[in-house]
Amino acid sequence: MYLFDQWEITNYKNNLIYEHIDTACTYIFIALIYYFLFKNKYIKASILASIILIAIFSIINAFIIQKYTSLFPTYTMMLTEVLCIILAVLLFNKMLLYPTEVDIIKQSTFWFNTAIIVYNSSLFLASALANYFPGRVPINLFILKYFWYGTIFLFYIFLLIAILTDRKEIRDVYVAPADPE
Amino acid sequence: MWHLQIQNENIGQLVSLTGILFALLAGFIAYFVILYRNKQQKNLREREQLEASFRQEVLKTQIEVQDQTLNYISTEIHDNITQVLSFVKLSLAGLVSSADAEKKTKITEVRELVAQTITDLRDLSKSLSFEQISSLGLAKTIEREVERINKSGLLEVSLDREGKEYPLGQQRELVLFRIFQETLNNTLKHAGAKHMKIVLHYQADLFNLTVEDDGAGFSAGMIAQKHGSGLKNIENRASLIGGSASIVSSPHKGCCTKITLNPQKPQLYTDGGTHQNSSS
Repeated sequence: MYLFDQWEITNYKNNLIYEHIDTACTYIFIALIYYFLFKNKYIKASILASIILIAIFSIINAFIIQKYTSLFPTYTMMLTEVLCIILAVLLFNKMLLYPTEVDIIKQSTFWFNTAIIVYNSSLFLASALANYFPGRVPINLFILKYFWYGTIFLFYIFLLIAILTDRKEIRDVYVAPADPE
Repeated sequence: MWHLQIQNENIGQLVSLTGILFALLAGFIAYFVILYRNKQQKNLREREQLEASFRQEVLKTQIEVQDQTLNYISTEIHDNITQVLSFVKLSLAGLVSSADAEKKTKITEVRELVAQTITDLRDLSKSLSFEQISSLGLAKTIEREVERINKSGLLEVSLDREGKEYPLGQQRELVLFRIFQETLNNTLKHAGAKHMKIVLHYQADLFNLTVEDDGAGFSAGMIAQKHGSGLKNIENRASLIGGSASIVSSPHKGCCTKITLNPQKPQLYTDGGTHQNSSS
């Protein structure tokens, strides 16, 4: 994906196609992680349905609404960000329902979920502002770019903590117990 | 100029908006962490309570089963073995008239031994049965037990009663008596003691049962090696009736077991009429 991104930038001076594909793929990847973190069959089915929905919407958006030749897929981004926030809140709720004896700071699930909720809610704001500002308000969008970079940096820090704290036996506590079906 | 002012205002608004968002997110995460930790604490407390209650229930059942078994043995001794021995005694009495002088002496000796055995078995039967506790109360039952031990010559036991006696409740007194029996049994089996002192101390809001001997004693290490389930039993039984047990001992310095309880304090093991079997 990175090589495709670089090729597109070199040849077309932007990375629109890459962004359209990447937005859908990122959501599918995150949704699949949540799919394996939840045991409840309704939530699992909803996650699968959302993956299909996002895939279809991405195609429609890329060809009809925000064409891949001229616009970034901010609508798809906002939709996937909202869905990711919903999944993160659901997992937080599940964690509250079945708390373990392990300190929450040592749980990778908590850090992963925090990363997702911080990243997606910040990017939702950035996407919304990026949609709103151009043509309406006379503002240089460089500040949005740094906000975006800051959020991504924070996201990677949380993900790093999640990887460092990842222990199968702790993770299994959330995955294994019987969820009310 | 106007254009630049508008742009600065918008940048200010954007920074504020971002600040609010991050503050909200940080607040949400902090709130979640606090909520999660509170839930963890609550669950831990509930689990500890459940475990304690489970342990108490198991102990309660153990005591009930043990009491029923002892009661059954007591009934069997009283109704069966002593009756047979009484019949043997009577039969021996019948033989006396037809025997010569030498045999008469022997038969009379055997009759006396049988009579002694019947008396001992009756005493043992009473000490095993909780009927005695129900009818006589703790102090009197311990007094009888002391008399029995003194009569046997195994130990020299003294009993002191301090304060005005009051009933502690049938179940509590039964458990206290079983603790006393366990202590007595330990002394007879392991301590090699010559003297034992029992003190029953009654106060308005405090009751103490102290059992002290001058036996071999033991150290904490010796108990750990032998698992010390008997002593653990004493502590568990004491906690079951809302009391506490303190066992103080050191090698060659005897042992002192003290059960303390507040009679006003509600207890888990209440008088619920669990003992319906009785021995006559």
